[in-house]
Amino acid sequence: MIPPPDASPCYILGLESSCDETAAAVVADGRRIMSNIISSQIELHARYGGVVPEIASRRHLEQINLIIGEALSEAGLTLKELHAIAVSSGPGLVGALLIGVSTAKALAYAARLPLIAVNHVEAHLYANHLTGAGIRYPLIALIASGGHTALLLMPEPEQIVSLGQTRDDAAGETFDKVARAMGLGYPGGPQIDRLASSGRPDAVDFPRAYLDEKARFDFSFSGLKSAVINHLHHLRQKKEELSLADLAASFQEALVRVLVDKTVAAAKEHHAACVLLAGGVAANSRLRTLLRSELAQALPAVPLYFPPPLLCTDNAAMIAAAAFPRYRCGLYAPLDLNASASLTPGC
Amino acid sequence: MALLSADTLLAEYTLNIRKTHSERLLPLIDALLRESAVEREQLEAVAVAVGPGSFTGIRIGVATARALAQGLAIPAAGVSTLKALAEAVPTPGALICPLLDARRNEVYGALYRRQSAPSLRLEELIAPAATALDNLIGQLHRYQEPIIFTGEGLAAYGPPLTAALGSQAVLPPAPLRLCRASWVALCGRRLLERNPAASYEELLPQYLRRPEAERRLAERQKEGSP
Ligand SMILES: [Zn+2]
Repeated sequence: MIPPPDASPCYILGLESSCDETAAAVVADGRRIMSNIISSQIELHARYGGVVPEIASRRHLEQINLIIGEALSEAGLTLKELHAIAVSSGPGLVGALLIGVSTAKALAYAARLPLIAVNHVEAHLYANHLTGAGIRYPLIALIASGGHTALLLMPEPEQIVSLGQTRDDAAGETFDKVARAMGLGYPGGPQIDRLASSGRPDAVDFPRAYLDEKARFDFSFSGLKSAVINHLHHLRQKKEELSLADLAASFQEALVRVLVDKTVAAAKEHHAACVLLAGGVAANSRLRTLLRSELAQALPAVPLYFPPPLLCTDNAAMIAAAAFPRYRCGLYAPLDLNASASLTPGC
Repeated sequence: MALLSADTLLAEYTLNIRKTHSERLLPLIDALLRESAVEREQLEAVAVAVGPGSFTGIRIGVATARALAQGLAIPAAGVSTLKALAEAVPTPGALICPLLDARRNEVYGALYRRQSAPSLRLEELIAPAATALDNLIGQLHRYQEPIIFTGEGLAAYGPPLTAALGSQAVLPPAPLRLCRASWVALCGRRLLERNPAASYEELLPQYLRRPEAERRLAERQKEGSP
């Protein structure tokens, strides 16, 4: 339902604090970004080689109200002009999520606005609604990031079914851990992507976990991670010549292949009208190219959409966009809303 | 939480149960205002205990207070949990030691003296800190006079305190040891009388302790450096 042209737009303020980005954004009608402010903590955590939950929570609290103020002023709106406040309530680091949830609840209460709880993983998918892509249903979405790997089906708008998810490490987490073992910096995804471009993807044959028939849309990357780390130790022990570029390319190929094959299989099985890619790993160049070419070969009529890099990583515009259909259905969250570390999509 | 109007305590809730603050806090604020027939827009300021205490618990309180202040455009005051506990002891000249369990064999503690009339202010003798109980007892030994203890840390640390300090240790009954919101509100009002424009932007927790990962990194760097 698109509102008539003379109707005033529906403004939703979104808040996001599930991991290491503190973000606030205002989105009109679930599609138009009025402001999108992100305060990244990457540098704060870099020397620890990963996100430290306590440090993340402290920084979220220091930043969030400031970020909200910026998001409102950039959108040229006051709190009173908003229609709702949305927050990601999980999954993620529970202490970090609680900053966004507590803030959203109190702000909504103070301003007498409806509160909308959003599933962070589902919200990634809605980043594609902010780019004017011609989204059609049923659709298949692959969400891959440092915290989650999920294959979702949307038979029609506002209906989400989880087809599968990771059983152990998330895709982005696997990139980070392998990068750390290789002595590359944090975050590891972009480093491996860059290094792999000059390596041979067939140099080492790493395991690809396709899992059994029942779990064919689930993922498992811990075996791959161990294999890469073992291979690295083995080479170092024997003092053999080691090409980091070949290693990066072979590892990346093994991981990306599984993501692509399962996504294409799901698109076939559910007669998808389009395929969406989202999450931090969606910025990986090999994933984009391979998914595009495999999809074009298997299902030439099915377009692939992915958001620009700023909307791939965690942001609050996707939270506000995901909240819009819930707002229209009156699906408001109660004041005793809690954060949930392990919220699964499609519930 | 408590609602204070001038010198009148309009309403107060104290729940000392194990359910997350995240679920409880805002529904209770709403219930308190409803019962008191006060609209949220009528609130003139918000005060919150900023710790020390459970990191997550404090952050829920501070995040809620900051957002209420931002949303209602009112000032906000942060009150030390230890100071608010000490406020409950009115006796002039009394030495007051609030104690909270800081885990890892430490307590959050401080020492105050209630000044005599007319000021009756709390003078800080030992600044709030996370410290080993024995360390604190060593410091308290020097004041050879009775010390009134308060705070939930007494549940675990009452017996060793009595053993070490004998009759110097005065332990009030359990209901008097809780950090009551009315004292937080009262302390907050005093802070706001001195600084009427106190903003939520400066409102932050008083952790008294660095994150574990930060401490370990600092230790490793110390070992690594010559
Ligand atoms: Zn994410």
